[in-house]
Amino acid sequence: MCNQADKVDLVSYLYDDLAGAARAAFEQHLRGCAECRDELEAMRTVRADLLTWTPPEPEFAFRLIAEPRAGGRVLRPQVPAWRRWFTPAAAFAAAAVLVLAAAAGLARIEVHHGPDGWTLRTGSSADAAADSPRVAFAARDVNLPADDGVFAALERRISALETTVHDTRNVRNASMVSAVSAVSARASNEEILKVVRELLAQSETRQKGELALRIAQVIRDVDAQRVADLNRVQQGIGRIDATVADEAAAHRELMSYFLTSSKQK
Amino acid sequence: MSSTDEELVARSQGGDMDSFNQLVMRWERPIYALAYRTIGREEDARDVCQETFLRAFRALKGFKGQAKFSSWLYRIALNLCRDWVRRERRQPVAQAPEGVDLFDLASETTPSESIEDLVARQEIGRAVARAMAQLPEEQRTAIILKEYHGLTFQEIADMLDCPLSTVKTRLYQGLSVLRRQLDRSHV
Repeated sequence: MCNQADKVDLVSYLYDDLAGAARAAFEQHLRGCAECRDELEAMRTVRADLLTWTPPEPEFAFRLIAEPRAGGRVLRPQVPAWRRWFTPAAAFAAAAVLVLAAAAGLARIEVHHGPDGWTLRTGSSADAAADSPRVAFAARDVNLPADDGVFAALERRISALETTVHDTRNVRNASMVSAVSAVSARASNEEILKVVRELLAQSETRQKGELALRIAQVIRDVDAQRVADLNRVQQGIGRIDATVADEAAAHRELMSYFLTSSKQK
Repeated sequence: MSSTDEELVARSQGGDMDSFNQLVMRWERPIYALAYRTIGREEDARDVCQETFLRAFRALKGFKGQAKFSSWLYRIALNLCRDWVRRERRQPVAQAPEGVDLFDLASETTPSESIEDLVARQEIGRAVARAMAQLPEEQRTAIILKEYHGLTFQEIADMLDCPLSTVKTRLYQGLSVLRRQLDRSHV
C-alpha cells in the first residue's frame, strides 16, 4: 500500500462503508495508484476465499427444559422416562413389596371387612380349605415305585391332622355360640375373661394344627421330588453302564481279533 | 409471522420457556459457527455454544435491551471462547483437517514444502481455516464478526470495547496476513 492512502479508508471502501466526499477522494486516489488497486483486488480475493470456510453442521439437540423442583431450570440431556424415577430407593421399595407379597402368599393372609370392622386372619379358612394345596396335590399324585410305606404313613398323619382341625373348628364354633349366649345372659367380667381365654386357646390349637399340616405337605413335596430325581439319576447311570459294557465288549472282541491275527502271522 | 428477538426476550423474561427455546433455535447456528471459527474444535465449539445459551438464560433478567440480543449473545460467546483459549494455553485450531493423514502428507513433502502448503493445495477452505488460526485473536475475531456474521464496524467496536478505527485497523492487518498466507498456499 502506498504512503498516501489510509489503510482505514481502504478497509472502509472494501466493505462499502465509505461515503460522500471521503469515498470520492479515495476513488480518485485509486485511479492513479496501481499499488493500491492491486492491494484492494487482493483483499477482495481474500474475502472470496474466506467464504469457502464453512463450519461442520452439528446436531443441535439441546433445549432448555423446566426443572420440576424448586423452580430452577437447567439444560438436561434426553433421558428415558423410566430412568428418571427408577432410583435405588425405588428398586428397594419394589423388592420389599415383592417379598411382602410372597410372604403373604405363603402365610395365606386374608383381610376381610364386615359389620365388625376389619379382620386380619392367617392360615386357611373353611372356604379356602376346599381348594387347598393338599387337595390339589392329591389330585395330581403320582405312583412312585419306592417309599410307599412312608407316603402311606404321611397320608395317615395328614388325614389325622385334618380331622383334628375340623373337630377344633366345630368346637370353636360351638364354644362361640355358647359363649355369646353366656355373655348375654350373665355378662360378668370373669366369664368374659374365661370365654376370651378359651377362644384364644382354641385359635392357637387350630393354628398349630394348620401349621403342622402345611409342614407335612412341604415335606411330602420335597420327598417326592427327591425320589423322582433319584430315579432319573439311576436310569441315567443304568444307560451309561450299558453303553460302557457294550463298548468294553467291542474292545475285547477287537483285542482278541488282533491277538489271533498276530499269532497266525 | 415470527416474533422478533425483542418480543421473544420479553416473553422469556416473563418465564416463557418456549420463547427462549425459539431464540436458541434461531441463534444456535451463528453462535456455534462463531465458536467453531474462533477455537477450531467441533466438540468444544458445541460446548461453548450450549454454555452461551445457559449463561444468557441465567442473565436474562439483567438484559435491559441496551444492545441487540444477538450482540449480547455474541459477547457472551466471545468471552467463553477467550476463556477456552486461555484455559487450553495454546494457539487454537492448528489441527489437521478431517480426512487428512499427517503422516501420509509428511512422506510426500520435499524440504522446501510445509505440511500446511500441501493441505492448502487440497482445499482452499482448509487453507483459510489454518490461516485464520494463525492470526492474533483480536484480528481473527474482527474478521469473523465482519465477514461471517455481517456486523457493522460500530457493532464490533461496541462488542470489543475498542474504537471504530481500531476495528478497521485489525481487519486490515488480519486480511493482509491472510493474503500472504493464502498466496503461499495457492502456489
